[in-house]
Amino acid sequence: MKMVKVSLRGLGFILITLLLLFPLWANSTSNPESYMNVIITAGTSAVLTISLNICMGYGGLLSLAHTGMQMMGGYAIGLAMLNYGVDPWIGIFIAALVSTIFSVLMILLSLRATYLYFGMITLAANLIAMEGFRNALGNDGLISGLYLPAFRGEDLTIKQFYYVTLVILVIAYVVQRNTVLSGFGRATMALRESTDTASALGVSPSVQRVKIFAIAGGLAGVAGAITAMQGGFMAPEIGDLNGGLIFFVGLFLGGVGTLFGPLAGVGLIAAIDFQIRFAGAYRTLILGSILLLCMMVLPRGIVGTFRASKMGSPQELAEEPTIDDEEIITTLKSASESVAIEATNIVKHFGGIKAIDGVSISIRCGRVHGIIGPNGSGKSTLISCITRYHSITDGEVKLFGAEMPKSPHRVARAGVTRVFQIPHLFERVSVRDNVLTGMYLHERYTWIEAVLRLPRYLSTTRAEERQAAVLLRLVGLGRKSEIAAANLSHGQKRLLEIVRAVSARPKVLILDEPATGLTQSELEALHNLILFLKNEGLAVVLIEHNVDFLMGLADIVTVLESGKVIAEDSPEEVRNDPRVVEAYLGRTDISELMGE
Amino acid sequence: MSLQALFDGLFSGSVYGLVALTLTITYQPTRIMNFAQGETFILGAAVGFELVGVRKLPWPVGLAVMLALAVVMGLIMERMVMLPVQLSGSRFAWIIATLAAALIFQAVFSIRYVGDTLTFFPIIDKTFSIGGAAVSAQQIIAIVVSLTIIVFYDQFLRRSIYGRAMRATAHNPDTAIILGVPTKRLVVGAFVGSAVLGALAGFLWAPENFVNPANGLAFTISGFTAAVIGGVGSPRGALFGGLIVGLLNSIAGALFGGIAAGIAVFIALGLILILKPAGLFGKPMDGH
Amino acid sequence: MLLEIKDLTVAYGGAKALDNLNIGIEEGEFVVLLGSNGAGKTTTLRSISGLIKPAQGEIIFGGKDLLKTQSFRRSELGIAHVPEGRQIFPDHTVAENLQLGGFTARKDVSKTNLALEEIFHLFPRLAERRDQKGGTLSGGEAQMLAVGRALMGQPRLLMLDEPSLGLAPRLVIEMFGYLKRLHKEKGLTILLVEQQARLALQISQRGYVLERGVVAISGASASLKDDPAVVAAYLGHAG
Repeated sequence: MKMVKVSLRGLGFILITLLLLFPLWANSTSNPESYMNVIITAGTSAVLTISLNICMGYGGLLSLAHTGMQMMGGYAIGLAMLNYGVDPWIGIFIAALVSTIFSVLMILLSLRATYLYFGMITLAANLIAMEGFRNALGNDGLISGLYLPAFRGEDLTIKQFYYVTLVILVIAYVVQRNTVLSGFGRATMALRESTDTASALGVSPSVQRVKIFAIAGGLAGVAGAITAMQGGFMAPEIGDLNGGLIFFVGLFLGGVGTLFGPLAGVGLIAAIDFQIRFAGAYRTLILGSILLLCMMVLPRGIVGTFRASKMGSPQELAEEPTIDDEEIITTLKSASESVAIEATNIVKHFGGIKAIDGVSISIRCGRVHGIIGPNGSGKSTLISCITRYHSITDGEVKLFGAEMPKSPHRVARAGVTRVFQIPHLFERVSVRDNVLTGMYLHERYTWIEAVLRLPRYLSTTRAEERQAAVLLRLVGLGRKSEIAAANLSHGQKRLLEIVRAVSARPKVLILDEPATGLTQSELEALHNLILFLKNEGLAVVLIEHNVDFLMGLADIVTVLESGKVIAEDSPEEVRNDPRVVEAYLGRTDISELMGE
Repeated sequence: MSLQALFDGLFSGSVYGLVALTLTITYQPTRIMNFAQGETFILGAAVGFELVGVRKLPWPVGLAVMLALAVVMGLIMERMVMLPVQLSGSRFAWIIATLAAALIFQAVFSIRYVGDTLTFFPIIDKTFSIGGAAVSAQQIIAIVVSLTIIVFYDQFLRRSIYGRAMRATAHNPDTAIILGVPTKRLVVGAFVGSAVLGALAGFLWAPENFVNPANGLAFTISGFTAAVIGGVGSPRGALFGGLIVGLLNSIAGALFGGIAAGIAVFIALGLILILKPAGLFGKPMDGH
Repeated sequence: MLLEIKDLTVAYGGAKALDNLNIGIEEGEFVVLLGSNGAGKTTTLRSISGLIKPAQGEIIFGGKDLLKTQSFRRSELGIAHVPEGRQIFPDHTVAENLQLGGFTARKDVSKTNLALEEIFHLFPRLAERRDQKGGTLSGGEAQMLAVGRALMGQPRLLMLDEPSLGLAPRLVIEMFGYLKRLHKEKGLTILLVEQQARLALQISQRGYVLERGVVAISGASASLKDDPAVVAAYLGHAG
């Protein structure tokens, strides 16, 4: 990690230095303003690509409306300047605001849509906005006479405006970076990876999506303001999707979902684009072909590929990080043996099929409650019903005496965390950051505090990192904290996911077949972890097929078959219960009926 | 309400329906919405323009050449879209790939036909007067041909073993494979088939309207809207969706002016997404 | 040997679903594959029919190297797979589902029709419902349809993945009954994956018990039937 940080940071510093010195070089050419305009244009493209990266790369939200957002910002500042005489500096904020509103409207309209339709809605909104301005304003929508802001009474020169753009680019990058490297960013990535996992971590999908899109819109609006002032005009053509091709090319070339990718990609493309900028359709042809080739040859982009390579990815630490803190999880030490979840007479129908047919189960704190049963008996369905991933047809679920909250992310917030069968880690993110994501529920800082790195953010983050270190040490992953989760073994991933779930300090932990695919030593580590959690007062629900593993841990076992409870007792009793053996191996009386 | 607007709406609606059908054809085996579909439409208009309009060749020749070129375009498009999708592994791959393909073809058409609007002489240059509205033979031909093709494809899906295999692949590709269905070839066939029909739609449309070579994406969107309203994956849905879009466009446009047409369609789309997201004829699992 | 699986390894991420698996089936045998969930039974069938590409190993069918054969061509070779959950096409009728089963012989219409009538003869209940949509069938009928569909291609090997899942006991017996008949009367080679271990061992000749991607026990069904090790594979080892 240190090596990587140095090399990318080093590149970053070199880049900034070059950009700062650029006007000096430009002055030596015959047409300095033209060259500076190139960089300004590249700069606005970079800001828009960063905005797109936030949406698509980190948020998993396709946006085909970025040129439209840019246009919105441009018109906002343009009309404000021309019709209301607003100062351009203020105009920039107005542009951001208008574009944000535009973006929020789009996403509100499409909250129920899948990402395919969402993409189309953004495209349609883009086209409608373009048409709207074309028809509503005279002159086919063209407004001109826009100007640069003034400083100390004089209009800025191109050179000064160049530096202003540079500052805005740096701000955009910092906003991206500080957003991504914070609880907000982790929640966003969780949403991208899996809506279910995100809900299980307490993230509200709709709210988070609106927030991300709003941020992206704001950045795009600012870029639009720059474009408007630079060119001195604004027209509907700015909203044309063709113009946005360069953002996609830059993003995919640089690396979707990486911090530096947008800059690297746009930087590379800007040079090519400058050569072909007046080539009209040829430009589209070339850019489109580059994009397609890039997707085939460098699917992760340049930065992404580097990050995934041996050289670019973080390594294992030489030693365990030193931590002085002992207190790990504070759960309900005193409330041991009290009833955490009480489910009564749960019935669940899927169409005509009775998946769960009148199941009652009582989950207590400080105990490991096993649930077993043959395939199709309803184990996972029961859990999904209890945690509100499915609605129940009949029955009652209570959490500590009160009704279980109605939606999955509220269930998570109330302290019931579920770890799914299929691991849903952030593969490209470090082990430690995966754990930190689990702590989302207890983060109290706002997005602004995160971006500005205010004290409340800093103190919360410090505490979280300490806790993460302790938890990782518990499962033997302390030295691997900086490694990308993808590089762990299956068993280690499983342990990491449980640790992530536990970092949310839940009261009930539900593990869905955690032992599958684990080696003997990993099973031991898992065994010890679960025992530890039980002793801390957690209620642990363990669905398992590896009955050997379960028997060594469970205090009580419920056996399901065909949606009904057929036995509930201590592990030893259950193992020897003939009804249970029959459920797994088949009925002996039928076998005899078969004859022979 | 003008009868003229009604007939114009029927004409545009049936052509949109045909475009919607082409989207459905590629969607079924791949679950991909081909944003580049509109470019095949432009191909049809372009070939018609160049061979029939400019070089004055007889229209059967133009049609034959168009069909041949459409097949080639379909094959190329399949590789342009499916290769990145298979190699990339990103969930966005297909959207970006189809968009890139759309823009590439759009650029090619814009370069070749810079400054031209693609239109050419109708097959039969006659106009009829029905109840005071002017309906051209071309419009009638377009309506009849589109309807026939949609009905034919609907029957193909229901009765032919290949059509059934197509539906089976759409529903469950793994099971189709173990039954011996060559799903990859079906995909190529789908791309080629939709390219041919898309080009045909453009060929039918251009004599009645001026087609801007850079406008492919707009037709894709109209076709997509029609498909969503009618139900993706259903030929009947394509037909009704297309007619709704065409009629709304035409009637709202006649009553309230240009932008109202777009808004009316957008509202219809919104209503369907809220009330019946799978579309009028769609089944819940097909509505993605 | 009709089917030979040698050192088959299938990996998902870091986990090994199958770990150097070795299984052999002679022509005309009725073999059963048992084991708890996650043991690798479904993975084995999916590797044979080509839905999964193994990391290592060989699968030889009738002398042909399956791993060099494209997935959709394997049914042509005579491998029929009744997948987990049956996977009936709900919008196609019973007859259409069956015809899709005969897809590889689609060019020979008379052959397909003959096969269709044979299936209807075997399963009269399906004949009664020939024009009914697949989605309207009951569980037992759907199971029959899935098996019938697999038989349309005149397979040399019939593989079934947990066909008893979700069926009432009476229907399970009925189904195992016709499987036994198919084996006896047509000499069909059957590879059956089942959770209903005892029943499956009753009607089969040989069995393999999988545990974590390897063969834990194998042998003649008659002796496996009373082997406590089989119980242990499902419910763990006592003590």
